[in-house]
Amino acid sequence: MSTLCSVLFVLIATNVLLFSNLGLAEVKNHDGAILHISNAWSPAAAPVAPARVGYLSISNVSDKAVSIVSASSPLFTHVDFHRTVMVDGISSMESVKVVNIKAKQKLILEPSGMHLMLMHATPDLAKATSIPLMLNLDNGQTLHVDLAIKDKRTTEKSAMKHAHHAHH
Amino acid sequence: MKKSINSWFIMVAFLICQCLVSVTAFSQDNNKTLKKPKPLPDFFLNDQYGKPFTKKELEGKWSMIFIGFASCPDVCPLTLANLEAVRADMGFRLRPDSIPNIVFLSVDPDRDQPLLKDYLYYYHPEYIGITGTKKSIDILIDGLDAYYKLDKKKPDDKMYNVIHSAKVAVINPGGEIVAEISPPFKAHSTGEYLIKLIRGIDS
Repeated sequence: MSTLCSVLFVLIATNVLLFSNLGLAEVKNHDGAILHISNAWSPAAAPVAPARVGYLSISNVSDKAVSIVSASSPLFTHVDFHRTVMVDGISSMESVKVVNIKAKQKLILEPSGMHLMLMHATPDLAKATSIPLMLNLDNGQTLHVDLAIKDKRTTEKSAMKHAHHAHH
Repeated sequence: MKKSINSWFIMVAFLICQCLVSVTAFSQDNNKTLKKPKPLPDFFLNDQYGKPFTKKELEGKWSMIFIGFASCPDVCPLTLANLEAVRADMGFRLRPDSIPNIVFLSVDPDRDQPLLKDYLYYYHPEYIGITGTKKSIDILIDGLDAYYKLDKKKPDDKMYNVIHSAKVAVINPGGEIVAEISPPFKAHSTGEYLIKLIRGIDS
């Protein structure tokens, strides 16, 4: 009888814990934003380059719109969102103050499009293999992302591989 | 009788419009060969090593000149990387000395002059960076039919953006512009186009 009680107690306790965790997650889902980040990268660049760039894909998997109100990184003094604009062969950049992502939508920051401009690097960037980034949301949450630094020489190698296959 | 003529008229008009649209769509090329090669004006700039760079330095070899600035995070590094991919692709079908040189014209000398050498060397040891006084830069910009503007928000603004034309001028060994290529640069198709130009094949 006491064994049964113990087992039951353990079972109930486990379930309470289990469901309470799920409950917290659900509560979070309701009034907190869930953003899934993928493909976060920054092309390697010359050490003297005054500005670096960050690209990533952001999926808003929640049922509420989310806004990124600012971004920062311990490796840079300034981090801003920009959008490359090409009109009639003229290239320009426009500042994006707030990044809005609708419910269930995916926003892609990629070359020639929206991107993060990272300015005034600290000396620690020289040795870094990734750039830590903080995205501050309108609900007070902060998302931590690591931009993987990718060497452009990989692009060249792929281009040469591709060219080799196309050679006839 | 009148009704059917009207219908015919509308149909023909529509077909003409459709044809015009299709022709425009097909001829909207990223690669434009000039009807007649356009000689570059005489200009006096310096390269990243401080040596004079004039029209003379362009003679005897093919070059691709494009406009940019080192503080550009997205478009300029992308162009540099893509043009290198184009050159790598051409390397399988052309002699090395026939492959166009890359000449990066910095229209932001105040910020770029001190770091141009190290900035370009990172991408390729043979890339050339040229810049100079605003007056000198403007002469070449004019000759390239290009455009740029330093978008300073106030006189002491150090973090300004530079608006600039994105096309790349293809210069023949006689110092003449023969073509203009515009992004996106695809390694193989842009390479193909340039090879035809260099070999003098009508495309």
